[in-house]
Amino acid sequence: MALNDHDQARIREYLLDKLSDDEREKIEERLMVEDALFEELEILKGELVEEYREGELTGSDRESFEKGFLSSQDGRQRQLFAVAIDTLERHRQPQRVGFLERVSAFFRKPEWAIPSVALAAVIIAALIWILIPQQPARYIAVTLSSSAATRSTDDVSYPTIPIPADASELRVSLALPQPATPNTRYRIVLDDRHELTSLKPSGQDANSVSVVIPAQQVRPGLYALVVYEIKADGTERQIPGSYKFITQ
Amino acid sequence: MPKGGPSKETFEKLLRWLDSDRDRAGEKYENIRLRLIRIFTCRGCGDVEDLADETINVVASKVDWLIENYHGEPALFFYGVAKNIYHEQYKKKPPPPLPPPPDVTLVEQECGCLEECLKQELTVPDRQLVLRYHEKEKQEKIRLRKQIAIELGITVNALRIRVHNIHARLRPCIEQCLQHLLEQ
Repeated sequence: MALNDHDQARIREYLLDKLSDDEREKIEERLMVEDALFEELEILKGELVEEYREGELTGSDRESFEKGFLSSQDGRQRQLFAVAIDTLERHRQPQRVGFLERVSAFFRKPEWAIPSVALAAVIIAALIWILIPQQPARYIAVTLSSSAATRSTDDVSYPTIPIPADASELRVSLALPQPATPNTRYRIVLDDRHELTSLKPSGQDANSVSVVIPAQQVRPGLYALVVYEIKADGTERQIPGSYKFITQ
Repeated sequence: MPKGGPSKETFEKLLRWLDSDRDRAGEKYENIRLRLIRIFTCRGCGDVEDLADETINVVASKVDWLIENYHGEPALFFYGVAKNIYHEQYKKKPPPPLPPPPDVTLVEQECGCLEECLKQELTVPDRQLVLRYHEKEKQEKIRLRKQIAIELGITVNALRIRVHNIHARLRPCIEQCLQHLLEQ
């Protein structure tokens, strides 16, 4: 039997001891024979432990959870496991791997796999070097197209952008696959495959949106920029595709 | 076989009642035992493995009658017996006290062991996924998980299940690193 939202809510209530005796027995009978429901029980235990540790379980829910599941050996093991994962996450270091290893890992990652038919077309504007008299500041300016906008049967080759050591920033103009609708704002996210960084657009027009990325945020490696359009009513939608590039 | 339990012959009959194929019968037996343990746990019982074994012993003692007369799902018969055991015996006992929360400093001291578990048990992508999945808290956590699901091209629920399976691979190793803390 496939699970529905009601089943998930029921299991949560079961773990928080909110069911009547009758309701509890019905759920337990199903737990004895339904694999999917039993799996949901195991998943929800971990999630409730997370909520408990983050202080999101309050009042009678917290009390029931403490008296019930958390007092058990299983509950104690789950808490320790949660602490262990938090410890590992806190100690996580940025992956110090060579450039070729990152490229290789990139192509193995399913969501980054080079599609057999689609590719990201490359339009790179001329490199512009500007020297400002009192405060020399060099930047690299590029224009990128979305992977959803252009397709090719050839192998994908992402644009490679050399960033000199004395460049302070990368100025990227992102060609929108569709013209912008009036009153639309944008949000941009930089994905370096380890974390997501939200960036504020530096400008926009009918066909593109621009962003400035400090050079130290794009050390040699593979990146993607993902654009979200924010409509006038505040709802957000990701623009299909992404803007992938390699820095050197 | 549960300790102090049925004879070997009775136990074999019990397995045959579960399934004529012995391997499948063994799996069903373990499945039922695990679910009984989980249900006793959720009911706040302390000695859950003993209660599960007691349930199995009672069912095993009736196996000749069951083979002749019972036509329903065997797991539900086990459950019926478990309920009776709970009502008759366990309800009279007070629930176990809430243990103190885990000492984060002591877990931190085992960081090397925990890191080894990550390397031994998980591929690099799974390692990255599980750590990223647990990065944020509260609303940021929910947003991040939706984002991860979008990147992977799966639903949030499928992502929950995938991470749960990664946890299942990781848990035995991590529990071994922290065994001394569990025994305190």
